[in-house]
Amino acid sequence: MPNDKPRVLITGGAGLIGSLMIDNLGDKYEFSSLDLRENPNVKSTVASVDDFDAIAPAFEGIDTVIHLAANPSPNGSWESNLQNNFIATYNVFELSKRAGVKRVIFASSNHAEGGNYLDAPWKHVNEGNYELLEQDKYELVTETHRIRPDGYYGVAKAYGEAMGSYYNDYHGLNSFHLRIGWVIRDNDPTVSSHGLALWLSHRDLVQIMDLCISAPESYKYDIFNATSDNTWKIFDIAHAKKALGYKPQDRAGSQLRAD
Amino acid sequence: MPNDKQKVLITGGAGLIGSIMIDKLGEKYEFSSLDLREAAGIKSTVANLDDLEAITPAFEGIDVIVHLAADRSPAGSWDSILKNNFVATYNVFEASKRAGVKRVVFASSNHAEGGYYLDAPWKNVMDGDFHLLEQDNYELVTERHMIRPDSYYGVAKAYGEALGSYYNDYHGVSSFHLRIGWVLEHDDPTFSGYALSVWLSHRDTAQIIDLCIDAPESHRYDIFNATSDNTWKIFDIAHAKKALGYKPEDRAGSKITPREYKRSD
Repeated sequence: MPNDKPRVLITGGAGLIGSLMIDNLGDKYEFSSLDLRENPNVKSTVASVDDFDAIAPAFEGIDTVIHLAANPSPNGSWESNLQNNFIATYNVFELSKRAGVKRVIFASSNHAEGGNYLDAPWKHVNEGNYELLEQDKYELVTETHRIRPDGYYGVAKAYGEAMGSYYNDYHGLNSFHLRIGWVIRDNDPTVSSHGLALWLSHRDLVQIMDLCISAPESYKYDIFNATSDNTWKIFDIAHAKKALGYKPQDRAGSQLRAD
Repeated sequence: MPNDKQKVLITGGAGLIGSIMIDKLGEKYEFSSLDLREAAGIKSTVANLDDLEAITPAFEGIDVIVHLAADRSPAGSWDSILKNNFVATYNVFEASKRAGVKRVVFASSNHAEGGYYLDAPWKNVMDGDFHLLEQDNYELVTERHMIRPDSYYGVAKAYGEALGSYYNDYHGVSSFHLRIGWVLEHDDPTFSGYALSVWLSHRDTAQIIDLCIDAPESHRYDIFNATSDNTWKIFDIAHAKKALGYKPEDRAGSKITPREYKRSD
């Protein structure tokens, strides 16, 4: 019996998010990984995403690319972002186009909008000053707010969204962009008020990625805020609920852990 | 008597828009130019913007930068756009921050939103099919529409707007971003539906850039569609009128005499 599972290449497949996807969705998709190190559980290409020729073969025969690989530091230098986030993301879109990939799912980030944390009411949420707010009664940052990055990293994420729009309109390569909040290794957001607001739990991450991979081909381009259904939000997740059918299962509360 | 005119560095000062500014605003501002060739009549630094060290001295003592220099072709290759638009624009913001420049006026472009030309009603305007539309009674593309570039060039313009937001919020460099329609060498837009729609006349170019340079320091960051008050618009210019006091003096009409447009340089 031929294997008819969709073939999904994960750039950064050896990292936290890639591993969560491979561990939880491995029955549904045929994953492969492109990363600086091997993911021992799937077919892996070991190469740097800024090396166009070295990574090209990994895209052959792929249906969907999940582009996670990047310098993940919100404070990364310009030089590192230029290489690992700007150039690498061009390489991913261009190679996807050439290989006939159907869709790229780009790990965008809340940091594309992190400048909003400077202003009330989001500043209060970010700092845990909940007494200054009335729950569910303040404005949330939606996907239609103007771009407002808080670092070169955030600028590179906004750039990736723009690049995806161009490749969708002019090269028939559709793309979804998840403005991911914060996926935490130990899955415990009580580390900080920033964590409580931005938390995207492991199972909610897996769910929203799955929804993006399996959305109909007629659905060409979109941007989604992606957090769990946290009590004190900064980002509105109504669009992902409505347009993708996202039903977050987790909700961070108001209490920080003791340490 | 000391010269108290604002010192304005124009990147790409030897090009078309730079020349218009120097011609029409030369009395009001003390201009200098940073370009691959000298700009006639003003202090010029000849250097490539992709070289941060080489361009840094040009930023010393400058109040406002008008950043026009780029690979100006909407069809520019990735390699050229990466160097001349992405890296160069980072260099301009970073050198401005280091030199204590107060504001960067960035020549963004309609191409940051050119993907909308694929769809009605804007496609109809672009194609000059005005009979399919009711004048002043269709949706215009505002600055609040989602970013939708039509090229690497347009992606780089959207990136410049994002980079400017970051430098304003975190490094105190204010920035205004003009989504410039089309500034034509002969200032005559009657050759296509697209030109009639996105034309920004020479004097309207000078006016809106002047307003951006001159806006109060408390106005920190903004994005403006910048065309003349053309009859068949794609882009809404209401925001520039309201927030900057832009009063366009020119208005393209509806009559098209098809012919090729070619720049001399």
